[in-house]
Amino acid sequence: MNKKKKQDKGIVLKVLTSPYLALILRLYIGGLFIFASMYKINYGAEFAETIASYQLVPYWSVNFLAITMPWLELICGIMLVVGFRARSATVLIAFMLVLFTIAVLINLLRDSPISCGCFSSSDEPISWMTVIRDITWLLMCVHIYYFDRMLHLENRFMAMLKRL
Amino acid sequence: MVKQNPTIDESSSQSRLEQLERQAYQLRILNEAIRELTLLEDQEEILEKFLLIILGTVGTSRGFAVSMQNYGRTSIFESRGIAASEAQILRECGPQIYGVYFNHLDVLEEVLPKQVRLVTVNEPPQGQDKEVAWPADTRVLVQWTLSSDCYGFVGIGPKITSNDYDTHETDFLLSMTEVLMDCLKMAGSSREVRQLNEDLLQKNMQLNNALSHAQKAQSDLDRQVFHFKALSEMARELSGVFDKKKLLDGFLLMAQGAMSARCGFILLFDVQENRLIISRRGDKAKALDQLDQTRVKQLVLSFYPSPACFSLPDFKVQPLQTSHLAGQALDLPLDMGAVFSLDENYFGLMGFCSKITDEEFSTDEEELLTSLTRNFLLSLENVLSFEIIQKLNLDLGRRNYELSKTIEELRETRDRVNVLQKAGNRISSLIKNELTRLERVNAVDFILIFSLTLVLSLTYNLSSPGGTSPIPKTWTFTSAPEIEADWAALKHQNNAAVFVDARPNEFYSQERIADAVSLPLNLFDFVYLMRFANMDPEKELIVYGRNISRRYDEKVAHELSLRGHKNVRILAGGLNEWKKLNMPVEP
Repeated sequence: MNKKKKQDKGIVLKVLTSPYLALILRLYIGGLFIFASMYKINYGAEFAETIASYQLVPYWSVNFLAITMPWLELICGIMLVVGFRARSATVLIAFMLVLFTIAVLINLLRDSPISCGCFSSSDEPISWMTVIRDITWLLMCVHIYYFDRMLHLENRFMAMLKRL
Repeated sequence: MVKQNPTIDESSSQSRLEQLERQAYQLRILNEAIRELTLLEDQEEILEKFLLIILGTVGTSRGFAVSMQNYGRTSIFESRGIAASEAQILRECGPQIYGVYFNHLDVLEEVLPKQVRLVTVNEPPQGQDKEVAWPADTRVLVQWTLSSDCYGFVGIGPKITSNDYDTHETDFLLSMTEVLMDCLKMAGSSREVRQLNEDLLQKNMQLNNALSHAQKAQSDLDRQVFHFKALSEMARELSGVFDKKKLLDGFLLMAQGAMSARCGFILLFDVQENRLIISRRGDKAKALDQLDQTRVKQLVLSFYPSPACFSLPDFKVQPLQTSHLAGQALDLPLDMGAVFSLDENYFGLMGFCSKITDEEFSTDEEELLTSLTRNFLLSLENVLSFEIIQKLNLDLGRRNYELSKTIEELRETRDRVNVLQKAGNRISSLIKNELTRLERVNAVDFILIFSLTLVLSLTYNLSSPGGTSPIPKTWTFTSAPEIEADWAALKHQNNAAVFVDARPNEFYSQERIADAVSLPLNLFDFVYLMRFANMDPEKELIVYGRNISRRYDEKVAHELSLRGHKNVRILAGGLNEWKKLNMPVEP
């Protein structure tokens, strides 16, 4: 019994730490961020409103953030998908997710009647589900950070260097 | 020595005279006999002459004389007037005579010299003489003994006158026998002397022969010693030479000395290196330099039936005569020479001529040359072996040098490889470090990403038609004057002003100043038309609603002033300041 349990534990651990899982997660998060950035880039003004609705950044930086942040998401997403400096991208994405989570958390505590604005300006209002969702994504990023090592664009170049 | 008969016939003086005359005659005969017989050397002749003299002197026609030796087995017998059969019998009965008359000689150690005995006178021998067949008419028998080795008998027959023999005659006979004995002795002595002389001569001759033999042997020995000396000297001299040419020169010099030849040469063919080594001495050998090598080679090769013969002992050295050259039409200066071969690679010929003594070369010298050549071949073999050893040594040295060079190169290469390896290790460690560094999350990455984001976003924003200005709009216009909250409260109490909520609708719904009118920016035009279009432009409007991120109040105030409202104020401190004053809020 014990042995079987141990075996099961091993298999679970193996699956949980599998690089394939990390790859899937990486592609998912990357794709997610690319998808999220698309609308925001095209509708900068609306996104600026969303940022403003959170009431966390000074008024003079709102527009600037609205212009740049979607691009940051896009670039990080692309880097994650293709596997170029994926860890750095993961760190940045995780950082953003932390920021978003904190922002949502603050506004939840404030009881602000705002929508998330994660994918478009007409999202449903923020809720604890939004926090849980963001934390799930954050955990995925942690997994990626620690276990991802497959299908990296830069790995080819690295392998070449290593062979030298 | 003649004994004189002392008895004198006293009958008459006549007879005395006759007697004297006869004595004188006998003495004369004796004298003559001595003179004649001493001249003779042969016993037979002496006996013959003696017999004749006696027969003639005593006057008888028959008689014999016998001389015996060696126990009567050898005898010399002379007879006159005796029947041949009787003579034959007497001649053969020597041993019997010895047995009867001379057997005392065996017993006696020394015999008295010259014994003469009258056996019978005037009668035939009788008594003990029966065993001996003396001739029948023997009248006087005289036995004589000269020595144990020479003895005999003298016998005479009756006188012609038939008278008896008188004492004078017997005395004479005895004297004559003594003379005979003396003569025989002399003859024997002289014969012995002659014999000795002859022996001496013969010995002398033999000695001479032996001497000449010894001399010959001596000279042979001398020559052989000289030859051996030459051989050993040559062996010694040549053993120290390690060069082919020098060996040839040395050998030629020594061989010429040993042969005593004025002129000599050696040709050695080296097939491996395809060259001819010539060594020559003397005037006649000068022309050798222009020699036809191929023909000389042919000549040498003609001595060997097959290549295998070169190393056979029988073919190693073969004498070469002038006759060999005749067929080849070669003009080599040689009276004597040799063809030699060590093996199929080294062979040649040598020749010597013009002997210093102007003689022909002897067979001895030919043999010497053969021996010398064999010696020379041994030395040549040594030289070749030495050359091979030297070559091997040289090869070894060169290989050693190459090996040491290779080792040096290897060492250098190893050093270089070490250096390269170190460099490689350094580079690879650098690369590894760089890789691990690259694998790690890097500040550069962030800078890069942020820069890229900035550049792309700003560029896109500028080029996009629906772009948003990064600078807040409120900075571009002069904002409306503010009104203190307590003032505003007073106005609220007096209904002196219209309170305008500039915030979005949700915030308005959540909490607002009592009786405030919602005028959100996103619905500005619509709400304005509905509520403010007919309002007096002089009516005081107090706008509130701002947060950290947005200044709705300023914007709305600006819009309102643009629509002609002159009395637009912004509530300082907004809803929060309002609530601090405990002014009424809705809902």
